[in-house]
Amino acid sequence: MKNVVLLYGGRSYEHDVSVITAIEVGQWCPQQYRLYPVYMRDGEWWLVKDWQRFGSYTSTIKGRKVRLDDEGLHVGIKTVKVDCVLLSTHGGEGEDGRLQSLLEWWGLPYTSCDPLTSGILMDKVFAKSVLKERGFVVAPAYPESAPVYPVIVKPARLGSSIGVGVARNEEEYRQALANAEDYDRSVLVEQFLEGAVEYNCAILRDGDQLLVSEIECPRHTGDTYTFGQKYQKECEHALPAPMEDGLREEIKRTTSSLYTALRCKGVVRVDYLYHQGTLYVNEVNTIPGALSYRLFGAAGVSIGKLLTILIENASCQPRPKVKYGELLDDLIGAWK
Amino acid sequence: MFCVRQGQGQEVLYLHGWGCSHEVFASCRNPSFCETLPDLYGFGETPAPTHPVDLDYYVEGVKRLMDRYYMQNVVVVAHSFGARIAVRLAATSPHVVGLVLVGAAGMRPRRGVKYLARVAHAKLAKLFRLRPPEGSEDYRRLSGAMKGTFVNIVHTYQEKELSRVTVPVLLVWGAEDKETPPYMLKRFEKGLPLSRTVWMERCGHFCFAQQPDRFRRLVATFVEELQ
Repeated sequence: MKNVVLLYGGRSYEHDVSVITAIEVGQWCPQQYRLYPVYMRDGEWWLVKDWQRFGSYTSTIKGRKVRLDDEGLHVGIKTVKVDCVLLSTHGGEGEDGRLQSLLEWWGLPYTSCDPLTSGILMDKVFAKSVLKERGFVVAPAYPESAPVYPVIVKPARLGSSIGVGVARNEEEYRQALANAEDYDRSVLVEQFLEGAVEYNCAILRDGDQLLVSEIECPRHTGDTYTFGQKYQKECEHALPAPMEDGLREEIKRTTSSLYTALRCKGVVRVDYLYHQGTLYVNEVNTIPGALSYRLFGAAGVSIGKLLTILIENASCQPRPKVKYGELLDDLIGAWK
Repeated sequence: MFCVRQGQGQEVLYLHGWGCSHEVFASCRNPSFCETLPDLYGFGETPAPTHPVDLDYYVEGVKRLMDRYYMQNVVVVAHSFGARIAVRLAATSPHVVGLVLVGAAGMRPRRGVKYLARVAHAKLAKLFRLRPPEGSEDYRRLSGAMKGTFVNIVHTYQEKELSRVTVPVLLVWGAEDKETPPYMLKRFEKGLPLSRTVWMERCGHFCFAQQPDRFRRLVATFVEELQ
């Protein structure tokens, strides 16, 4: 039986979303895996008592402190060999490549993009320039000092629509900028595509194959798809989204080529905006909420199967085999 | 046994709790399943037995119902008292392929000082031929053979039967359930090591009716996983 560590929590504004994902995903983990749900808070790692209850995270944490390193998961005096780390962290250190770097350092296989891809895609400013350079269509971005209204202002390294605001004049812009800067020093200012339709599509690698999910269309009110609409059921989701076959094909094709071009791993969800006949890549999530199991479910991939694929395809860069001291003689000779 | 049967697809059998009827599941039904919702003996449209009966009587009744409709590969969704029937049914019928137990009863309850005092009061009253204390609210509401049935049922503890349940089980529990408190869930988890647990926050004993959409999704995902 494989031992799977489900990592969640962490220092992030999206901490609570991470807990929800962990509970949603963890409760459906196939029973051929032994699951160790490890919660991160303030630099400590916990096996939380009653980890499936939201209430367990609102007060002082009760449970057992554990430690994860290259030997495995240390629970008391026992060390469990870790076959895979299932990442359910959103935002902050869990999604921006820092946690992935740590896992790479320890040589533990994990279920998300490598540190470099995670870092680039976490930062909306960098992601936009990389996507543009790779030939994907993105909405034009403006320098902070020269916006062309209407604009949408986003904290660069945050998800779940936290801190996002639309501005149509200077006063609104100042407010939106101040709001976004409360969350992140780096801010993305881009053209607001008025009346654009949003589509979401997720993708996953299974061996040599790419599995593309069904496409969803969140029907929200107001300018943007807010945190409340995302997580508090204030918004309807059309799944599968009604659209022309041509557009459906284009979205699926773009998702696949983006996944390959950016060397992604694990589940990735790409959010699009369709505006006046043009499809824009809006955002790429390397650890999407609830790992987008609803989107895959609509495509006939159950959550159990999704997790099995994720775990079985988890990977880690193999450590280079270095022959220490082999060049020393030559180098010392050269110094002389 | 009266029942409502509707739809096509995966067979799902709903067993209601004590004092309820099939209508308790009205809000969380799923038209994509072939659903069977009986009224158990003594509740809803089904008449009460003429003499006090035990849990096996209910289990046999449900088995006859399953035979009547040639039900096979059945997922049983059971609440509270219905879960007692479901556990025994899963342990003895080859046609049950999965259980969803919601606020399930059947585990031995923790007895506090208050309970012991009530028992002592009742025994002393019996000895001195005085008026005994009244029973629980559920007991008081019953009449005739159902009173004896209730006593038989609440004194049936099923901890040992759990080891005979080999099908996948989903345990759904309201975090604020007072009738079947969370410690009972722990006993189910201990007896069913391969079960999955889902907590419904801010919900009580009738969590499926308090969050019907979420409950419907949970059952649908569970059925999907079974397939």
